[in-house]
Amino acid sequence: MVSDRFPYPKESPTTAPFWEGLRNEQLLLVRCQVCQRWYWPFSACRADHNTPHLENMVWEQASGIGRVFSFSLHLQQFHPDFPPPHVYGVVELEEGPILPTSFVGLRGEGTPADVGTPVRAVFRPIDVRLTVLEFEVFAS
Amino acid sequence: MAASKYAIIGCGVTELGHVDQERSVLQLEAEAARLAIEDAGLVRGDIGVAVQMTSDFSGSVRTRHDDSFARVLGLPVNLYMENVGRGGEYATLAIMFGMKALDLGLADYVVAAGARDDWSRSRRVKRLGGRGTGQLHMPKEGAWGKPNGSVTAASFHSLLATRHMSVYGTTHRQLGSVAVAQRAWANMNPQATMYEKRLTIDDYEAAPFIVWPYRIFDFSQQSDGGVAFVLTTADRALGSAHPLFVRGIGFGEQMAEQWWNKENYASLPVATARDAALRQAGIQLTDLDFAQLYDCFTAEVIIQLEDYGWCEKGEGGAFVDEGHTTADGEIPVNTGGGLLSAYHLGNLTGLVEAVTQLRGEAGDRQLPGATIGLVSGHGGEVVSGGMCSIHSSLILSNDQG
Repeated sequence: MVSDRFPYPKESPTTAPFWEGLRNEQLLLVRCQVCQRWYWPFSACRADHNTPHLENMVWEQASGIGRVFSFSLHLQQFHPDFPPPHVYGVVELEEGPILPTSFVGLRGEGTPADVGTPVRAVFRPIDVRLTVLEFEVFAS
Repeated sequence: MAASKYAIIGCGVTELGHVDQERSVLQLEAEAARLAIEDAGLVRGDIGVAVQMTSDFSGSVRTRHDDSFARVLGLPVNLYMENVGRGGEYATLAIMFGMKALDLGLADYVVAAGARDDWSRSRRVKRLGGRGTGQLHMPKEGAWGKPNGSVTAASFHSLLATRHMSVYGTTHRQLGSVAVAQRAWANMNPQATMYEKRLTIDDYEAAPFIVWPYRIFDFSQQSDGGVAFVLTTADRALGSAHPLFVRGIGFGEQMAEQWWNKENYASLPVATARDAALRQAGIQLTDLDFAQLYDCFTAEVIIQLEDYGWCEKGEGGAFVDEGHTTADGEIPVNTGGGLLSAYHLGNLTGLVEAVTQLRGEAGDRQLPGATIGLVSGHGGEVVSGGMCSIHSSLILSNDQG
């Protein structure tokens, strides 16, 4: 159950596939069909391939495996849906891209050494509109 | 290098900080503009172009209004440009816009005004039972990161501190040394919200974490207030009381390289901004008498000191901790206290302090013989908070060059 202030994402045609993927409990990233490189969010490929670049970019399912890239540990409550301790941060996926997320299972006190901790995607359905993507610590 | 062709000849500043006031952002803009025009020795009829400095972050609640300070004041403008800014970078973009308007002869004098009501707005929210608005980064609808609990500015700004600690070994104490150094400057600035509040490193280390690794002293102020300036050509400026010449401006974007290389949490896109500004000004970094570095939080100061080149990459924390940003230091930084201890009006805070120092009006904190200095700007991230920001460099001087 979330409050009536829950921050639902603003979906647009560019981002809708990502959010739909989460509702299906899939982490989708954008992949170049020419060279297989992965991106997030929607991007043209960094390499110069034949045009049209944007049509070469397709959302594909990623492994969900990554590492903590950075994080912040909320020890006070700012919002009814995120009681402390709450860990926000950025995950670096094994495919390459980084994206904002929240973490479950990090040590309760902050320490920079938690950067690099192996994590894997978990999906937390909120309601029919949204499934939240989080990353939990696991022994690699 | 060619002499500067543009100068700021007037600056207007309303009451600032924790002000018990009921004025809207629009009214604060208008008041600041009125003061700037007066300070420039002009009348309203002299203004040909007006620029509003503000910005909407992705999903921010900082609203734009339907009216214009130029209309409110009765400025006979040919052009009113609204919503110029990217996050905390307003001033340099507005100056660039004004420079072009002057080049084209659209105006003899351009006024740019920016205002915020973050403090009084947060107080209104608290009176209604809310926790306050932090830095107003809590959007009405989510964007990337919001459903995961990016609930306040510190949620994502602190990610830079964590990353920098992890990659370069920056310590909590070094973050605290930024807060302490700037508080010392604020203690000499009667306009600073923290003017009468001392801060020692022991105070800092005793404070609880709010959003680890950040404590309250890592956060910037929440402020009400408006700032405006009048820009004109250098030849028109030569007759004015104290022209401040725009010697260089430059910009950098993380979306160019740092985003793709995943350097965007431990580095900022300073290089192209710095190089353009220094080249235009015809000076070296070491010629700068001061640096008003955008300091929404402490880590940004450390990162900018490194990326401008005042110290090696990774050494910014030690640089501040060793006292190099004080009055006697290699580069006095945020000499009025900055956003951390004075007030938060984006990089208008730094602009006002630069103007004050260059005019010799900085009182107890005056840098003797200050002639040329830097104001930086930061923010306006794309993708998600903290992820992909702009950086700006502005060099102002008493000398036309």
